[in-house]
Amino acid sequence: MATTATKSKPVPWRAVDIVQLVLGVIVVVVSALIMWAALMYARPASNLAGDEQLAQRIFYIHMGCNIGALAGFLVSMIGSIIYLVTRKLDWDRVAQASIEAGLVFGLGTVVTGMFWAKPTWNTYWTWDPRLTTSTITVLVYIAYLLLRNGIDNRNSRARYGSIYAILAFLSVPLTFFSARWFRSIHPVVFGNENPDAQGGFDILGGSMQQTLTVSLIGFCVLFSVLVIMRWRQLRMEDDLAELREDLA
Amino acid sequence: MFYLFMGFAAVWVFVTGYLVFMGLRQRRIEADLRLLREDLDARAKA
Amino acid sequence: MRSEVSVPLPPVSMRTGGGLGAFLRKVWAVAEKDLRAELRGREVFSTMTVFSALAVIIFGMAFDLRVPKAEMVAPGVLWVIILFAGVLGLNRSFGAEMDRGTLPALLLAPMDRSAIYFGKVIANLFFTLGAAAVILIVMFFIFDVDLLQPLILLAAALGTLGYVSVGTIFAALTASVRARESLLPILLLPVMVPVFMAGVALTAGILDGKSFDDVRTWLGMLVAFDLIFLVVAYLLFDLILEEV
Repeated sequence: MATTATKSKPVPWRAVDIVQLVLGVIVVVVSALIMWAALMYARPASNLAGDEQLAQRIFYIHMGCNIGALAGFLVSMIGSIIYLVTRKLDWDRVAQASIEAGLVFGLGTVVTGMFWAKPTWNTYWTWDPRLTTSTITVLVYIAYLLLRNGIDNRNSRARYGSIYAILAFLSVPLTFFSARWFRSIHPVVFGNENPDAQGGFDILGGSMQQTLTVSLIGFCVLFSVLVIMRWRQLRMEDDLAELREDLA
Repeated sequence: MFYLFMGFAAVWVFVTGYLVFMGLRQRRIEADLRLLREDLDARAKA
Repeated sequence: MRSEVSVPLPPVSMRTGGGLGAFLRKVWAVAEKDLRAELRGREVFSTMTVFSALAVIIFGMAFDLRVPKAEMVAPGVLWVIILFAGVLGLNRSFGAEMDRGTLPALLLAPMDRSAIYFGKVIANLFFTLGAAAVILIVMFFIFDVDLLQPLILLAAALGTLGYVSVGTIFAALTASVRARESLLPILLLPVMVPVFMAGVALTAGILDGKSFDDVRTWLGMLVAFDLIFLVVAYLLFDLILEEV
């Protein structure tokens, strides 16, 4: 603990943080790319019309959010397990950051799903397995954040959070399977298992496929950027807390 | 048209919201850091 | 933000010999302690049963004259009440230990942490099955639906087992957390959705008169969920009570 007098340097209002800047630029560029691809580059679906045809473009964002959410929860599971094994708090921060980012995209998945559903099936909500699982999953991970919120001890927070995250991730495929057995009117775009599915459209190779790829990759990048940003911030917060304790 | 707009808007609102959230937290961290530093200096001088 | 002073306990390497028989005895010892405490105190079971009856009546009123056939809503109502009544009992299983400061004593006892887990699961199973029984009986009369069929009882038992296995570990998780009573259902209910859905589907199938073959998948699902959750919860439980 330094007891020598330090001349307080005036802290610049915003120190130039290269990493932050680069990450920020990436976010803007990738977002713009996704928007352009989904709204302009992709050709409209030929078997749909009107509002439904327009709304079909939501699909690219919907799938992007989907992969973002999936990445979030997968990474959190891995991070939690590694934390429990190594007890290095950095992994716990990764878990928390990826769950937060996963939630952002998870909410996006649900909301885009709803705004796609209305013009397509004339209802905002339906209990089909994918929508159900997405929503329940969002709730599961909101609970994770609430749990962490109520624990003051840093190590306990990491430990309990990790335990819950593992059980939570486990429940997601189980939820999906049980919901699937109930019923489904979700259009199965990549397979033809369900005769009840309505609103599907043919992926006309070319522009649609490319746009989808752009969106998926783009959202993965977005996800990674958000996680890196948040992870650094969490580390800073922890360091700060430690500093405060040392000085108190 | 409405649905298309709402769908896209929602996602970007969420993402931007999260970025804003992180930004606010960052401000708080910097403010706390400043306070701590002042505290440290005050103590060193005392 | 000050962290509490935590005392790390030495890793459990106690007298855990004696094989399976000794282990089961310890499990039962933990379960019996909780059951006996409840017999003397009678705080939790009474609240669970009264809540169950109350909930059935309230649901009955809510659906009265709105639903053409009670069988349509009965499965859902049954499982919703089981979930909510169960939380009351689960809260207590570690909450009481925390409040009364008996947790360290429990941890010092010469047994595997997993014995504590299974003991608590058994005790909670007793309480929640009791509540489920009350729900089934009251619903039988208020909703006038034949819920007392063997397969439905089996479904209720299996669902309760899965529910309690996860509920016990979450109860341990939330015992030291602020606002634990409201946090437990928030943690538990979403994760329990598969069990809930399987239970409702199975109950509905039986009420609708489907053959055993038709509902077999749901039964299998319930069993699978129970096993998965029990095993994973058992594996993770040790990690919770590392520091006191």
